[in-house]
Amino acid sequence: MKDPVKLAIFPLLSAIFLVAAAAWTWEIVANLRRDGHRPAQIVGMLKAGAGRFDVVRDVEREVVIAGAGGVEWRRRANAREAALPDAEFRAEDNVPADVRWALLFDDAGAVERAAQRLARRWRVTEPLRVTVTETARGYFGLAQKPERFALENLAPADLAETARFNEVVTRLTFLCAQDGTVRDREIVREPDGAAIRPERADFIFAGETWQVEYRPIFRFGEGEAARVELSDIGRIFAPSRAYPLGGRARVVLTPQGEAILLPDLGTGEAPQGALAWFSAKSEAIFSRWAYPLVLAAFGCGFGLLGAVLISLRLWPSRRLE
Amino acid sequence: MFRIETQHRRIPWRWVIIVGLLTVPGVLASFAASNFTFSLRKFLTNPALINGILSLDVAFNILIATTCLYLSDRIWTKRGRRVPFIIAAWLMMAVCYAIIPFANGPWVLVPLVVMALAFMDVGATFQTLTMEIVPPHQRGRMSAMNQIVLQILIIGFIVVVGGRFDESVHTEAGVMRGETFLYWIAVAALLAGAVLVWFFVREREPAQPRPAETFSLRTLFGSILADRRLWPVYLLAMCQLPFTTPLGPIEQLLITEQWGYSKQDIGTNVLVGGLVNMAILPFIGLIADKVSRVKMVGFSLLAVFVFHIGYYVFIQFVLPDRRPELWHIIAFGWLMSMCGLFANTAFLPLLFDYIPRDSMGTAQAGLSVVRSINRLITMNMMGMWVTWYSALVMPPGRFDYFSAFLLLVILDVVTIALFGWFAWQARRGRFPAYGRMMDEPAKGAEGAA
Repeated sequence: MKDPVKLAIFPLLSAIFLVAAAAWTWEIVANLRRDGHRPAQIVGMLKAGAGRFDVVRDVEREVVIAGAGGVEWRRRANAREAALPDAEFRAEDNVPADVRWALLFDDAGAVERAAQRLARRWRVTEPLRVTVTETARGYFGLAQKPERFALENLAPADLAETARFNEVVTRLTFLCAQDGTVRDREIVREPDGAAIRPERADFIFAGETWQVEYRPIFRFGEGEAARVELSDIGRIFAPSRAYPLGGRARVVLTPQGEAILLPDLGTGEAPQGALAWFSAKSEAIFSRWAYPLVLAAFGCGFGLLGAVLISLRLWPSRRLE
Repeated sequence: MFRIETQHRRIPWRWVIIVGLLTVPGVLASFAASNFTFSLRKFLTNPALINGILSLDVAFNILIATTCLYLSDRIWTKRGRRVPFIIAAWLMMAVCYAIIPFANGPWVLVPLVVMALAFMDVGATFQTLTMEIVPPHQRGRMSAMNQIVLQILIIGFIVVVGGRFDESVHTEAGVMRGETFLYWIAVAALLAGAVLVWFFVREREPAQPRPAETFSLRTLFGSILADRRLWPVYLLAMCQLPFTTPLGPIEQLLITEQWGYSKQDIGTNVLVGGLVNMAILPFIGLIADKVSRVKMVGFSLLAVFVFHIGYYVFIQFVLPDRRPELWHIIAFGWLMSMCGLFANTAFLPLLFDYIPRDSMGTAQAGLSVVRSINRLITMNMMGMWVTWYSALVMPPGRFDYFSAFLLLVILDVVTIALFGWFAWQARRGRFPAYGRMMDEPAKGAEGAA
């Protein structure tokens, strides 16, 4: 191979990577600059995997904590309220904010740990019974992936004949003594009366294998211009912390009418420390921007390499001995 | 000349930049390999099996890396003696990494992971190649420059890319999964590295090539063990265990599966810990020069033992839900890393105090073998311990990864006992410090002159 051809390899690679990075981000950045972005809300979650599709529209939980003296604390929360400020919800001191959050919105492991924390904090003399009942509503067990959704109720428009609105109820019960040991754990799931798969033992958005992916469904626009779209970003094992069901987000529209979901960095989140906050923000930013960022980094690296090699050819060093 | 070459007495600093960039494929490949745990976890649940597979890396260090390094000293091809190994390794690693994210079962994934680990060790000649390009008086600055750049690179990639493992982006062209992206970054770097080495690196034939000798592992182990003067050195190397092999792949499973943190949280952990370490590192050097090496190592071993017990008690008996906060993990990791830095600053010179000058090469090979065997055994013990302990105390199908700390505490006790015995024997004069003895007459001669 001739020297000029060899020397052209890395500048060429650099150009390819930089163009790819620019192409990836161009539409978003250009449209962000042109007419800004508009608010959106995550109104549903597509759960897809192993030939089965669920459209989860709404998740509601009821938590009942019962001690020796009867019911100590009862709270019902809807996932859509999770991202909204709720003065009454945050005002109660007998159940700390992080425990409340875990009980109302987190997976079985976090609920179990929160129940243990509570038993220790309350110094219970008799085991504390924590029962969490989750009711998920939507369209379950679809054989095909839905592409379009009805604006009002998220009914899969292209699968209208087979999709039926339904409920899946999951109940977890923990018995916690003061030493924090979970004495008993009962899990019931009632999707149309069918029994829970033994390996699952978790809520609707947790406990699945790597083959199950969660993709947010978002709604934006007002009146007749309102639209519901499926996000291009998905995540296995659990929904992205950047786009929780009920959470706020932003949308950028391309000239072709494509809606690109962006995280709302000011959205309400679980009570957390600075490090958890940093993690959550990093996840929100890099879930969209990591790919072009890495392409650009490679482009710069190849560019530097190409420049050094060409400089060695044009201006050979006299240091060499 | 735009090709960089070996065997020069002085090279342009622009060559050093190229050599620095050449280390990037290896770093990114290692970063991707640190995610093998999560790829394997998709299909395998048993921690003993996962640790067992990943510990093959250490076995290959002994079997493959040693063989390739030995052979590369004794062959010559049209493309040199180190380059063929590097090209073969990087191309084959790129092939394995490219396919790994698409493996749909353990029967495909495990052989690919094993092959990737094996070829990683075929490429062990890379380090030697860089040392042949950069002459000794320029290596210090190259190393310092590389360390800073690589630290930033590692932290940046863990924060930006590490957390993407579980994510995916759906485009009209197809689905880009985070796992695929992560491995393909390494593929791109390895392929670019192979192009760079193939077209722009030229090995010059040494004036006096080493004579061809028959190589066998038996000869290697025989020569390593034959010299009894090196036995205390190997004993000392075994005492490095608490600083070199904490939990292995089990740590990632502990943080993500048992404590429920995300892979992005691991990135935050590495970022904060790394930044704090970079700030504190220079002060360790200052302290290290003023304290006895034996005392430094002894103190560090005791400190690690106390921290391990403290951390276990804190999480198991103080925290109500037995789950540390992120800052607890970072603080503990930082304390351990400080002990490691403190101990390792003293360990290397202490080891060389006991190595006779005429046995440096054999000692290096022996140290590498001892450390590898140490790591191999420990990693497998960890996996088996967690599996066994979990079977005793946990419901079926669940693992208590944190129980590995109990085994760590036991290993700490064994290590402290070994080091105590070493220090006692050394004090009684049973282990002569050959390395220091050979220095002393020279100093005396200088004084007399």
